[in-house]
Amino acid sequence: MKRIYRIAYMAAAGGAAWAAALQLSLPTPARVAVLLAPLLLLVAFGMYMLLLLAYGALTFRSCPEEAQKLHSDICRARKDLVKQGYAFDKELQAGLSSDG
Amino acid sequence: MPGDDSTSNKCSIIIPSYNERDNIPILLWLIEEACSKASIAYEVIIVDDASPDGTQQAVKQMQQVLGADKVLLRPRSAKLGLGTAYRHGLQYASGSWIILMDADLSHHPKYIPTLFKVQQQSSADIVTGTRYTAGGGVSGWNWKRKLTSRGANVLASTLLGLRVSDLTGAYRLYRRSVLEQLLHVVTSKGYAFQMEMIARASALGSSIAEVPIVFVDRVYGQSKLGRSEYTMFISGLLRLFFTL
Repeated sequence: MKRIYRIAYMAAAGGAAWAAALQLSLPTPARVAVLLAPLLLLVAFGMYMLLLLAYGALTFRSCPEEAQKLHSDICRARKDLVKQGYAFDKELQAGLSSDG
Repeated sequence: MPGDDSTSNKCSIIIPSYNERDNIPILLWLIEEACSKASIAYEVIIVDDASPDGTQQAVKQMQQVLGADKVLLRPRSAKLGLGTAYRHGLQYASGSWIILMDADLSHHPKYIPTLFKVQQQSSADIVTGTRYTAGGGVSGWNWKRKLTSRGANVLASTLLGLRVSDLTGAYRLYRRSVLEQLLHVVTSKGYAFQMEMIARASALGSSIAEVPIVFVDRVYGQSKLGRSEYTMFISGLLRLFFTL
C-alpha cells in the first residue's frame, strides 16, 4: 500500500478514536487532555524532528585533512600524468603554482 | 554472481560531465590507481554534455594514457539531465556492476574498493556512500551548508520512511539489473533524483548498504548548485511522499 494511504488511514483511525473519546462523559481535566492530545502529538513529533536534526548536524563531521589528502593526490596524479606525456593546460599550470 | 574473483565481475563507472577538463585526468588516474590496487576490472564511461572547455579532448588524451578499453567517451550534443546521462551511459556499459559518481573529485575514487568489499560482505544490491555516519564527513562546507544538507536528509528519510542516512548522495554502486529497473521508472530531477532511486529501490525490495565517505567540496571548476535546486528538492520530496 502506498505510504500516504497508510498514513491517511492511521490518521483517520486516530481521528475516529479521538472523536469517540470526546463523546464519553469524562471529568473536565481528562476531557481537556483528550482535546489537546492531537496538538501535543504534533508538538512531540516536531520536537523529535528537531532532536534528530540537532543530533545529525552535530555528528556531521568536517574533515579538513581530507582536502589536504586530495590535494596531495592531485599533485601525485599530475606528476605522473606529465611523465606519461599528458599535456595539461598551460594557464592552469601557472595558476596552480600560485595557489595553495 | 558467478565466481568470487572480482575480475569476473567487471565494473562500469558512469560519470556525467560538463566543463570538467581539469578534473577528468586526475579523476581517471585515481580510479586507475584504486582499481588496479584492488584488482578490480573496470571501464569508465564519460557522458559529456558538449562541454565547451575541452573536456572531451582531456578524455581522449586519457584514452592514450590508460587505453580506450578502460576509458570510453560517449558524449551528447547538449546539456541534458543527470538521469538521462546515466541511461545513456548504461547503454554502452559492459559491466555487471555499475558505479555512479561525480566528475569533480568530490567523490574520491579511493572508496571504490570499499564499496565492493561491503557489497561482497552484505550481498547488497546497492551500496551507497554516506557522509553522515561514523567515518564519513565533508570538507569545505560551512555550518549552514552542513545543516541544510543534513536537515534535508533527515526530513526526507523521515517523510519517506527510509533507513538510508544519505538519500541525496550520488556516489553509489549498483547491481546492474537493479539499476536498469530503476532508471526505467525514476523521473525526478536534481537531488530528488538520487532520493527517488533509493526510495524506489527500497519499494522493489532491494537491499541497500552504506559506506562512510568524506565528500570534499570541489577543487576546480564551477559548482552547479543554485537556489532552484532547493525548490526542486522540496517539490521532488513532496511528490515522492504523495506518490510512492
